[in-house]
Amino acid sequence: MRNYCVLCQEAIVPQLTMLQILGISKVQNSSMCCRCRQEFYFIGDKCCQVCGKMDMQPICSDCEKWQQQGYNDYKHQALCVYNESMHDYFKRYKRYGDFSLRKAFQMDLRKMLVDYPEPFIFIPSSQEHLQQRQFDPTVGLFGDLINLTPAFIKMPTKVAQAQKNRQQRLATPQFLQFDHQYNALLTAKQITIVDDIYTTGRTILHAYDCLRAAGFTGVIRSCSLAR
Amino acid sequence: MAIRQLQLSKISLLFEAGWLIFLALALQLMIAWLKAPAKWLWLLLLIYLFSVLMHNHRYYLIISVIIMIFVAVLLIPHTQMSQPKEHLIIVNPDQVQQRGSWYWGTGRLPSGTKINFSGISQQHLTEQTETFCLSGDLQWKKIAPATNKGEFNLQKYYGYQGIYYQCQASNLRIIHTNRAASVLDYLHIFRQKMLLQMRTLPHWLRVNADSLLLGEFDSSEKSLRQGLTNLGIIHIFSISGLHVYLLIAWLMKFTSFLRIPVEKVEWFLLITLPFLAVIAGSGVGIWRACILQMLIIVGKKLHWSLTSLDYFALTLIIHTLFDPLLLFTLAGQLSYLLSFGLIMVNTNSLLVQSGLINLLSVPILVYHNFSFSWLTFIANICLTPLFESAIIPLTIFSVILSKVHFAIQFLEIVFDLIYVPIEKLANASWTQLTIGHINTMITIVLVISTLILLNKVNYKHLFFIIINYMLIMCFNYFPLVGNVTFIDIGQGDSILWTTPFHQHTYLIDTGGKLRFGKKVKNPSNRVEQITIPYLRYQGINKIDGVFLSHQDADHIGDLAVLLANFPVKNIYFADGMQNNRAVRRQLSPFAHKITFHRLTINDQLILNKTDNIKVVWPDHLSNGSNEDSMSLLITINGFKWLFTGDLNRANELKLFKKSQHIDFLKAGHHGSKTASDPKFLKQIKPKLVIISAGRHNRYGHPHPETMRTLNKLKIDSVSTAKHGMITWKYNIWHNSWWQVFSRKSLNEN
Repeated sequence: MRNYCVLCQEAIVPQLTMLQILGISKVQNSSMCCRCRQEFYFIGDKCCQVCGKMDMQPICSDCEKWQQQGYNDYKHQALCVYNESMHDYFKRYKRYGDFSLRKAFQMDLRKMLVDYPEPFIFIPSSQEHLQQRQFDPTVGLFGDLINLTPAFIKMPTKVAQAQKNRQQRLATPQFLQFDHQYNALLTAKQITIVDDIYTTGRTILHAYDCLRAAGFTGVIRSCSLAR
Repeated sequence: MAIRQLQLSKISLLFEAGWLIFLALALQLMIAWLKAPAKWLWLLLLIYLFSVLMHNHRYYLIISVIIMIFVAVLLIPHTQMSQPKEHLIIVNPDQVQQRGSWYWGTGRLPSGTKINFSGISQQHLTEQTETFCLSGDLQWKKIAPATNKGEFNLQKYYGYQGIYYQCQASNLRIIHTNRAASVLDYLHIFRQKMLLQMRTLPHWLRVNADSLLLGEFDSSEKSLRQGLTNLGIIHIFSISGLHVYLLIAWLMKFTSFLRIPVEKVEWFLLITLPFLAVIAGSGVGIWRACILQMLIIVGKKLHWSLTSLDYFALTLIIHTLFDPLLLFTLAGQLSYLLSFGLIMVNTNSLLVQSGLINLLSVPILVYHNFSFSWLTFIANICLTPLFESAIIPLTIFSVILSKVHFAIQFLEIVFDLIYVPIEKLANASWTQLTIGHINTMITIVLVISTLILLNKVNYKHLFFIIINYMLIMCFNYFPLVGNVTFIDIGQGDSILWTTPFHQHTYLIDTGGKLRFGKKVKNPSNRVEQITIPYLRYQGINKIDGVFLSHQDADHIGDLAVLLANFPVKNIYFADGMQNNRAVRRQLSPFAHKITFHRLTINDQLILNKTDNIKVVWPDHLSNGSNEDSMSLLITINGFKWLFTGDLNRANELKLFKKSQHIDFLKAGHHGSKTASDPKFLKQIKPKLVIISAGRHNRYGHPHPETMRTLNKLKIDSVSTAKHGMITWKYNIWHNSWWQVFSRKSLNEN
């Protein structure tokens, strides 16, 4: 019955709102306590209309560059800003492999994903990482909420995306491949790509290219936990 | 994690943190179901509370809610008290109030039962410094209930405090002084000594120190109180408990300066706070603040992880254990609702927050007073910080410095600047926005919708609430029915006539008290307590005209009070009455703002096709006596009414030359045998006679002779003494019906 915060292990005491007391809205079983939650910055309306970067209205410089390169018809949504706490979170989740932390944002991610139709394709982690962690972080975050299709195959790269600097990231060549056994997906009106972090947009846009190359003509949207 | 899981016993689930508010709500709803009217409403809400818990899968909490329901049943007293016969009352010295030689207050019987007393004493009861025993020829009486709509119900008010009986005596005297029997007595004696100490302070400083520090609002400061009420900041004095927080904050700062460990100070507070609450006057707000502070200290020591909402709920539960009917009083409702609002409010702007909290108090104020002061929105924003940062600190300062003459004189001048303008607002009835009566259900809907607004500020929602208020006002301001109301103002006459949509409002006589000698000055006034609240209850803002029948005090004694406190446009009286000294004294201060009309026989006021007023007596210049009572034949919606004041038998017979049918007659002279001549009654053949007389009045009105006449002629009669307020209602479709305040006879004590 009682919940404990997945981050700090303190008991979670709900701060009931008036609507919850009146029974109009249900009290959600949160997995993070209020104090930990305050450490994260949830992205509101004031953000880049394309990628969700905070305080960059209407379009951030990154997206402008992408648009110059011809990526005009895609849109990304992220839940939180990649700040110090989010960095620590991913460190514990991905590097130390604390699988239980996948639950921290489930409630919020579920709310965000309500607006998106199936199918969902995720960006897989490399074989090497999967071997190391024994789980795929993106599948951990989203797997319980939506049906994920493993339609991308990640080809081996020398250095992981996370270990590169900005310039190197942007210069990364295509490392994703569409798995043609999922060709049936290509008839859908909209495909949503999910990933854990959106930094420069390179990975997601490689996925975009991949889908287009495979002949998909519908709408492409993407979601991530952090931006 | 695993260890924590082990520690988690099932008992802690019964009181799950974050959810305690449901326990407090269940306790209150159950008490309301047992004690309050509109039972089905409370039961429905209680069932709904269960469903909310089920919906959220809080099954253990349901068990504790059921425990709370049992607690509520145990808390509510069932036994009915019988009339006391004792001749001895034990009184704590700080519980007595005085005006002249008239004393009143609260005491207890030797058995411990709380009672009220009042009466005359030659001793200085307010200057004692010991608990004392009072005696005298005590006349016991059950505290009388309200008998009019809108009237403040003293019986309920005292009943909620466990006081059911009062006694009166003309010779109260102290038999002996008691040694203090309990800690409580010691605290009351200490409080009394403080009160006496404050008397050495100059006027304003004393009022400040008494009211803010000791919770004693001197009854002689009527205009200040009224001014504060009109401003809408009276709650700072009575319900906020603001100074408890201030005192604790200062103590913490001071002790940290002296490097005393916080833990020690907390232990000290834990022990002294209950004593402080008694010395500060035991107000609801004071107790709430003290209990909350104690709980926070305990919670800190025991490492409870509770939300502020939980602490609020626990405070309410514990307070209710001591005072089960706490939330039945205006002070209790406001105090707890506003502090709940402060927890729930969700906005960063202090200005918006203050406005919303004030909006939350409006339904409660309107439910009790039928009006609220719109100035409260401005006054609170300006004056609350002033009280917090200046007035309360200066008051405490003045008590400490009470020996330093110079400083005291200076502070007195400062407070003069603040309070004199507030006193000027005492008569500012324009600050009051009359809404009219609202029932319990509408009050709850308004409170809940305001709470939702507080929690999520949204202009559409605010607009919805304002529209609701406007609809209620429309409903009260423009009713479809007209009324003829015989207001139960005790021995005397006061009849209100309102037409549908309140197009016209007329009052016939105001009532008033006959005074015999000047010894007993009972400060109560029926117009203030009954008539004006009833007008506000009906949503009436002005009276078109007051008709004065004749000069007697039981008819026009309270006229001046009405005129001073309520807008009246016209006054009508029989020509000649203006020469009467009693009448002139009442009217002359208002000559500049009210039009006086002298009426003579056969004068008519035609309001519309179906309604008119015709003067049928006197046929000569009136000298204001009973025999010259101005008599009115009023046609209302086709029905004929006759009001004859105190007209005597001989003149009754002179009213109509030929037979004249009257539907309803106000019995002349309160049913005295000097009026209601059988021949006259035969001549007019009324369907119903209404008698306006006081319960147990000293004249024995209505006289048995009159009742015999009515019986013989088979004319029904109804009396305000027996049924309280009597109302005849009619609508524009020519339907009419009677209503009485109490179907049961009120005569039996």
